Amino acid sequence: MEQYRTEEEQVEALKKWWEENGRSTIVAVIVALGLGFGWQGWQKYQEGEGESASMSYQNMVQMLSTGEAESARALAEEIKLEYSRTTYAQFAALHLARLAVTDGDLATAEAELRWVLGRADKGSDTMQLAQLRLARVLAAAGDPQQALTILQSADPGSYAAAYQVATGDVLLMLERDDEARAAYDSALSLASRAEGQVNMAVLQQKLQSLSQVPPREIDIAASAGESEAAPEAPSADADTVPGEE
Amino acid sequence: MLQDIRANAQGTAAKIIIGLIVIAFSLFGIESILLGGSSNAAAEVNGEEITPQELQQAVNNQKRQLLAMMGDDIDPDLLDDQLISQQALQTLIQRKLLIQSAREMGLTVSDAQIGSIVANMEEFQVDGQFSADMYRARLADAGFTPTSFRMTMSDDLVMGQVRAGLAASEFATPAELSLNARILGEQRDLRYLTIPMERYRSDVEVSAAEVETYYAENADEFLSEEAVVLDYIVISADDFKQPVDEALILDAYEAEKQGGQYATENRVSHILLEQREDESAEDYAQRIATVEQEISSGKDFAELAKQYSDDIGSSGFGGDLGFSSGDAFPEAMELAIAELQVGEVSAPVVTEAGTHIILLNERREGKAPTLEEMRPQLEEQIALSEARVELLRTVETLKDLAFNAQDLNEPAEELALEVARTGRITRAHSEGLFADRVLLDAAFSDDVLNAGHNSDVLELEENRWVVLRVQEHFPAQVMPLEQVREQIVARIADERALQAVEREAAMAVQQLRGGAGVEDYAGDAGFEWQVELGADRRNPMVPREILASAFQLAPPEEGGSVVDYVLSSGGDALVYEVSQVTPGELQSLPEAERNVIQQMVGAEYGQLIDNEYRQGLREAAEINVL
Repeated sequence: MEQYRTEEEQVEALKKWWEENGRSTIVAVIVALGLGFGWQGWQKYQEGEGESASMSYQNMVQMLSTGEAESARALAEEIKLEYSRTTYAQFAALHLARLAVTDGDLATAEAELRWVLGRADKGSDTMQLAQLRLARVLAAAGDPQQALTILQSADPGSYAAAYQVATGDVLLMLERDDEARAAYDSALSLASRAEGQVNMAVLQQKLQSLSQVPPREIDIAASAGESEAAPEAPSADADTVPGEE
Repeated sequence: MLQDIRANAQGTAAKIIIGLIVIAFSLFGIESILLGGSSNAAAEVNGEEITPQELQQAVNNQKRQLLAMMGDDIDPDLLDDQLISQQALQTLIQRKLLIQSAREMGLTVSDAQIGSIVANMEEFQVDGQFSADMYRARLADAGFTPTSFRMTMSDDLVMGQVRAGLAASEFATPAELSLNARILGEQRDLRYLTIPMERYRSDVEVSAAEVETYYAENADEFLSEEAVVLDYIVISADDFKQPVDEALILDAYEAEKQGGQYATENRVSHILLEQREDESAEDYAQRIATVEQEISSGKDFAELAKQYSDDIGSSGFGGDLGFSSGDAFPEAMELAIAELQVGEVSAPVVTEAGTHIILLNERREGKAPTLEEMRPQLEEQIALSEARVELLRTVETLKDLAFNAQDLNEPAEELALEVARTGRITRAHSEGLFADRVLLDAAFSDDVLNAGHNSDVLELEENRWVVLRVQEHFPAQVMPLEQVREQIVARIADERALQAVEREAAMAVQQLRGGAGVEDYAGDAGFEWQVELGADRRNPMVPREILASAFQLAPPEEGGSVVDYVLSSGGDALVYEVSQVTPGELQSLPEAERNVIQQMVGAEYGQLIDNEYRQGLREAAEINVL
């Protein structure tokens, strides 16, 4: 670094420096300030947008719970249009898909789910669920084969059990019963790893209907003399049957 | 060394280091450097802390809920701080995860939105209108500040939004419905007969030798209940009551009389005159004089109040201010009121508010009870509070003595107390003093029961303490044969009857498989039989055991049937025939049934997804319990 002998020299040097670099310094400061305020403004705008979207979404949920499906549908469309970048828009689309499925309009349901897939981040919950539901809708629309491909090749993320339930259903539609049973079995064991209790009565009944047994064998000639009842049979009360003496 | 640093401070290396420091501060803020590492959080969830205060509040809430749910006779084990604290911490962690996930999705709630929700909550309304006072009171009750309440509301809302978005948007496709209907709506034609166990029980003869063998082989099934005989000392405040000094009673009586509840109450009206800004002192005085004049001319006070009073709160009601027991109004007013007779109007009284002219409407003379009326109550109060001091002192000594002594006699002698003895007491004792769970738990605790120590001195309700030790222990032991003979005979008879029933059932199955009809066979053998055509899995007429077993069977070939039996929980054999299996058909199901299936399938997916979502968050999170 240079050394200055007197104050005048220092001032002189500063002046010179300012003449050379002054303009670009001012520009730099203005640009920096501009960027800063711009960023803040952008954040504010996003926050404001999020809050309005939240308000509309909350209203939509309220309408759904009071059975005003048509108003809810209109509001959901509006959320998708106005706040398309927010998660609320994706939630709204998921609900539109649900309403469409309930009405039997599978084409609309598919479009809504694809809309979510087009916007959701990779690996997000909405993306994984939209994918799962898309497969189920495709299966219902008559393309179980494609559904199966999606279900088996996609990454289920957190939703492994739900994916297995859907896989089982599709396999059952394709009459591949043994594979369906395996899928249901793995769904049950995956579901039980979570801490919360899930009532899987429907799944269990499906599983039961896939694991049917022949009736117990009875050969009275061999057992007529003494107390002998075939023990390997499925009996609800097997435990209360006393051992032989 | 400092010299060296100074000398080198100009160097490039130094500049880089300083630059790094500047970047560190500007990126992470000074807090991270000042506060980092000194955390005393209860847990950390993805770097976000759960403070001990939060945890404590959650523990308190949980306790309150438990108490509200189970009432006073709750098992004290359930209120164990350690246990509750662990559960509460898990709940808090779960909540934190959900909130973090919702925020990460960009979910947010504006203050305005919360405001409008709060304004519509019935809890905060008085007569259908939001009341700010009610709001603050309710929040304080629940341990919230307005800020913390808004935060909690906001968190609850965004968590609800995620749930509504992910789980509640679940559905069941038409294909899934018919698939599930096929199974849930499957119908089977069932014919069944009942072979009652009772019929075979009566012919069973059990010999004495068999009973003895059974007794010898299964001795551990015939144990008596474990019991103890306890020595105990119970002390209560009543034991320490002494006659009360007369002077104390008099003091207490005087204090009682002075207390607000017996004070005289006056109901007054007033006319308030305030000096206006542009009013001269003379005009003001003139105004006061006018009012006084009007009053003395006998005009109605209420009318005058309406006309002249500057107190807009009371002027419409004839100037009425309601009752005061001597402390509601400024001192000058109260003094003037005390001087008045009922119906009399005071001279002008000046207070900070202005000039009052006061009418005494009504006087309720406060009448304190006499000393003799109050005596029993006061005596009891004083005696009890003195006795309590003595009691607690004795309890402290007893704690020391009981802890060190080999039995209870020694402490009892020292403190002139009595040791009592119980009869046999089991863990399920339910009468008298020892029905108390605290005492039973202490009596059967390892320390008291097995190590033979005195228990702690245990507080029951207020003013009652107990210490106990086990005088005699009767461990569970095999009851003598005579006591259990009948029980054994019954068991052997049951087992035999069950074998007979199964034999009969097997026979019936073979006959039916051989081609006999259920009706004919049952008729011949004298069994009851039933037919249920088209029963589904939830049929209410058919015994559950048959449904569970019959729907598990592989269906028969077309036109054929399968026959099997199952035992009911009462020991009867149910022999059944499945003759026709019809898969469920969505279209042919009644509307209500269809809705049930739709509901069930959607709800199962929804629940599963909600659960996996939470589990997913937990697995991906970094959670430190400190």
